[in-house]
Amino acid sequence: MLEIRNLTKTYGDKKAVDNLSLHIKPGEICAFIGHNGAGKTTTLKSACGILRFDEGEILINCTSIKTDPVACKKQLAYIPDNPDMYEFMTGIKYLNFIADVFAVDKAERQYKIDKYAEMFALKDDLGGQIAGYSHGMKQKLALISALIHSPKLILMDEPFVGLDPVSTHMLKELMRRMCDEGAAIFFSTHVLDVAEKLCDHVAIIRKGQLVVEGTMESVRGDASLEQVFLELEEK
Amino acid sequence: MFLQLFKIRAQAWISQFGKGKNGRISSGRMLVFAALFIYVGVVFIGMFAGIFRSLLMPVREAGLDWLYFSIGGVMAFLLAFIGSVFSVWNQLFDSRDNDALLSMPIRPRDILASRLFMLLVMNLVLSLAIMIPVIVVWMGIGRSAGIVNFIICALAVPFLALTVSTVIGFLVGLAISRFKRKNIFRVVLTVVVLVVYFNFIINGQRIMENMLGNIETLAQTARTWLFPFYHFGLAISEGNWLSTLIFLICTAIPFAIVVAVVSKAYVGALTMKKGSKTKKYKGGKIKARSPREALFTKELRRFSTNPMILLNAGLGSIGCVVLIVIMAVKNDAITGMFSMYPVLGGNLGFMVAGLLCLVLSINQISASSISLEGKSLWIPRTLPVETGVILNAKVKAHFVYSAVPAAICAVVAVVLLKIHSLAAPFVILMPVAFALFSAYKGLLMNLHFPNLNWINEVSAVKQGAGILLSMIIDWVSIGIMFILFFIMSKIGLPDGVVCIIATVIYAAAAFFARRRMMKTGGEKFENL
Repeated sequence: MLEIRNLTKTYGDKKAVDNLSLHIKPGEICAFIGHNGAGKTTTLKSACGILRFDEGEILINCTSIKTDPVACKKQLAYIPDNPDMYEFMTGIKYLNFIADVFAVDKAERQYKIDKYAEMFALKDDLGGQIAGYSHGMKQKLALISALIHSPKLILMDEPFVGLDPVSTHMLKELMRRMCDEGAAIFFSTHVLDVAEKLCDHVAIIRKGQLVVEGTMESVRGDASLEQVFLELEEK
Repeated sequence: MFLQLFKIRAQAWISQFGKGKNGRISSGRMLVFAALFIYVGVVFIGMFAGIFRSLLMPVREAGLDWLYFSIGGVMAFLLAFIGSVFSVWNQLFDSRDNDALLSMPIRPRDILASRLFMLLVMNLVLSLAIMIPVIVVWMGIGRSAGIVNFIICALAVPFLALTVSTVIGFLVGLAISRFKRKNIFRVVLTVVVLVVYFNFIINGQRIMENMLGNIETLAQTARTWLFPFYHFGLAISEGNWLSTLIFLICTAIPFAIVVAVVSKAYVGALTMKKGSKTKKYKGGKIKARSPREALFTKELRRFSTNPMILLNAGLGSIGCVVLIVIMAVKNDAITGMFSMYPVLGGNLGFMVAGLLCLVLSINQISASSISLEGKSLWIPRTLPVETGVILNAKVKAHFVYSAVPAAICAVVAVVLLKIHSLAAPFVILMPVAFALFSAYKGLLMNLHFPNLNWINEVSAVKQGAGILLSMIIDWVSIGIMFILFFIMSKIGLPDGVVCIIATVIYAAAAFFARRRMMKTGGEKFENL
């Protein structure tokens, strides 16, 4: 579903991502772990077409994000770490706007908005302006907008930040269910416990380079993910 | 701390003009924009110098030298007041860095002082556009007395303007923040101010003639009702130190009171919960649109739901509505005014079309539409649509906001002012073509000079190199059309010919700007 081949992205003289390759198959949840500034966000932004990269290739369901970004974007959803949205819109208008652009059928969008808004306890607030939303509410709205067009690949940057415990639980359940239905999820996180329990796959990045990648079991072995991560950081 | 805060605000303002592609401030760009500012300043100073030259002699002959400075002082005060009253609420209370600053060990009064000082600097620049020609014309007749008093009093004018604009801006902002239909309230309020302003402009000649014809009455009115400015005039014209002191007291005491009051309520105002109570969402019918329609509607909504954006970037559209009202009410006066000047009277068609283009040049909707994406730029960048579609939606919003009111206004002008020549269709088409050109050109400018890291939405709309350049290009193009018109009228060609030529030129310019946008705009947008 997501294939990153030899991705390199530089900012001025600094290599933010250096020759990174990664393959995430349909049905997999992959956690992307690394210290601050390791290159996680750059990789995610490159994968969803926000950032142009210098070298390498990114394929979404076998389509290149470089040559056919529109076709790729139709299949994916991206949630940034700080979801700044159109504050002049109400929650419902924003969701409707996203559904319009992704050409979601009217009945289907109505059903999904109701379903996910109920699930994340945001339904009552959908009539309010986004400007008045808290960080957590914005995060929930971004999540609903990402789910509304049933993406095959979801890229998330720190999706659990700002969510209340119930919503965090709901999101984890939902992520698992979506992957069981064939979608792929690639998300960055600093919450290693969640990554360990939720993910089938893990990728650890350090200073722009992928240091470890594989199934959770193979990477972790007998230790915890936290121990593995700390050991790698010390090297 | 105050200086550091002021430095940050000043840097944010400067960076909107001088920031290069690498994010650093480029001295080359800064020089270009400094030259542009100086040029615009010189033009304004020259314009006001003409007004004060015609005012000085009659006032001197009546032995009322002080009145000359009083009028100058009032005009400087009004210009600074108008320049700051619409932005005072946003600048003082509605900045994005409020929470960050309040969480730091900074005294709220330092935050307030740094913001007030920034407004004061802006007010000073505006008031100097009047005060410099006032003193230059005065010294031009060989008078130099009271120059020190002038410097002191001229520096005090921005304080007085800021005092009044803070009080009005604060009260209006407070009322609006608690008002249910705040957008309508704010727009209506602005339209009222504009109507008064346009009425003053239209009757300016008559007002000036009346003033000069009744200098004694005017002087008496100034003595009674404009007490501070009466002493402002006396202070400078006679080098009177007592009047200087009175004017300073009249300026300093209200300013100190306002600062003390606002300072006391400042933290409360900064942390005041915004927005009115929202109703519980109960579901309902959802309207589905095509991606193009959705993007276009979003752009329209951005400008119609935020009065500050509408009033700063779309004032030209409101101006068109005001013009329609003025034409309906003062139809005869306008025709009469034009008939006073033979070159204009017979060429009403071009004058109307040219004036509409000038009014539309205030609309800088597309020139700020990229900057307004700000931190939400990730949304359009992840949508499954071609970049051209996103950019076209922004252009279309500008075009619709500008062309529709301008076309209606032109039709009303054709009917009411009886423009029955062959030029009539082009009186309507010329501003429409101009609106199209302005929309594409504005977007190109914004793509070249984006300002995505704004602290305050208004600064994305009001300030920035893209907006300034876009406006200057509009004015230069209109200036060229007026020069063309005067040349054509000298050789006896009807104004309709100029309207046709201008329409064709603007349409062609719009075509080339569109081609450029489609060719390079996408890449620029994707590299932001």
